[in-house]
Amino acid sequence: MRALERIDRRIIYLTLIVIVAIMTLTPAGLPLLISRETRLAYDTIEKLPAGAQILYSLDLDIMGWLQGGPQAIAFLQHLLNRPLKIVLIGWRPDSEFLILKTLTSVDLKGKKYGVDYVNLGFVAGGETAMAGFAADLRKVVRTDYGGTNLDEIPMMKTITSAKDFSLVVCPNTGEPGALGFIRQWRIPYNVPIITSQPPMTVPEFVPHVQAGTLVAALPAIRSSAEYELLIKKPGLGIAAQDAVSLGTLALLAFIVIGNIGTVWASKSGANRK
Amino acid sequence: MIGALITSVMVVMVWSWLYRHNIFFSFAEHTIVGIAAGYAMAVGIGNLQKLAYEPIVKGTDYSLLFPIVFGVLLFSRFSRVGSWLASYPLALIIGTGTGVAMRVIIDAQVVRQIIATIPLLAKPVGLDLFNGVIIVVTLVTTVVFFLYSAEHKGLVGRAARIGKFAVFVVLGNLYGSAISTRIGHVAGQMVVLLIESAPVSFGIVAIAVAAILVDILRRRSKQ
Repeated sequence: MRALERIDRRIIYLTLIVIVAIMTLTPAGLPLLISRETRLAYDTIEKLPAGAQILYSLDLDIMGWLQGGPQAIAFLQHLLNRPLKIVLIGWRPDSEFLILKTLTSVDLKGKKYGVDYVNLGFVAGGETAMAGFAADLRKVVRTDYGGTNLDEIPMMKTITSAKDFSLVVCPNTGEPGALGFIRQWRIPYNVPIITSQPPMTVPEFVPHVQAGTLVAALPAIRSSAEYELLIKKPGLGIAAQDAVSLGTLALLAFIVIGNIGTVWASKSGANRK
Repeated sequence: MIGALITSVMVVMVWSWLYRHNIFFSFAEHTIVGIAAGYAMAVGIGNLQKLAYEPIVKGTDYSLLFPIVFGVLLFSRFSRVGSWLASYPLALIIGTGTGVAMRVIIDAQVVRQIIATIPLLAKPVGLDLFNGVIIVVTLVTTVVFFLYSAEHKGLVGRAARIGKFAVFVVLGNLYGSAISTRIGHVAGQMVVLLIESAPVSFGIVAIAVAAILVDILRRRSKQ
């Protein structure tokens, strides 16, 4: 029993890697139920009127992309499936090339750049810039990602501030992200916000969902698998879902085993005394 | 092909730390840090050129000289004599950031939460009353737990004890979520390695496994 307390960490890592690798290569096909939050986010986008202007703010870094990437792709695909006008933007340096990566991972459905969607790239300045963008976006952003003046882009002619947007979709890790949007877009301008977060930060956003300042805070990767089912485009979320489920179970098993060993060791130590 | 090869090699090099610290891990670590720093610098210079340099050169907005001067002043930190100059732009950045956030933070993170909780208690539907009571009790008792100006005895002590359990529940939830997040990272990396970078990655993984086995055997024979 004492050995349980002292399992070599490399055995734990190896077990975990083997389980995750097997589940990634040959998914077990575990049942996947669509959660209320994912359905709510999906329905909100579905109910948007044709021509509605959406801010797609990709606030992920490279670390966050591993988890948030599939959800970011699923969100954008859903937006492109509908007759909407999409403004892509990011407030973190990594956002710049992650937006390009997301755009190459989706089916554009024949949408034209400058008419149906536009990429503003990374905007420096964090929450302060976010607030300035909401008040008058041309004071913060003058050109799109490629350097074209915003006034020369047909789609941007009717967009001047946060008041012109019907929804913010924000796949996010860290600041300013969804919290910045709640403070600078939802409260002053009443723009609804949908976000996806790593599971660790979702509890931080649940009170905002209950208070109505967020429409939904989805926990990536699970939500991305559900979302891919809803938009009928299986992707990396579904591919990773079984690996996450069984990997978590394996780690829980190791936690239980380690605790059994610790309790046993402390009891046998007390008996000896 | 080359992208998949580089991705696979870097992932395997980083994961090799799980076996033991080695030169390949250090190489990958320093490469990633260097690339991240270089990328951030390139993006910064690009922004400077697009948002400041071009409008100034074209003569459309000379007011942009002020933020550039303030930005340059930040670098005075590297000078022993003029380091005090950096405190002015720093104060401006922190002051503006705090001001912008503070104007709505009370509304977003306090007032709206209270407004959302009142209907749970006043007009409960289903489990609303139960949830509302839990929210109010855990909020008050947790605040009491962190109240150090009163001794934790009697009523205050009992409230603080409940608050302590509330904190435990939150920390347990955070720990569970952290595990789920980390497994998500592993799974995401595995998708990159075994699906996006296949079949190149299989060869890289095979070489890494072989190298580890050789190292294990070599170390055993030395012992």
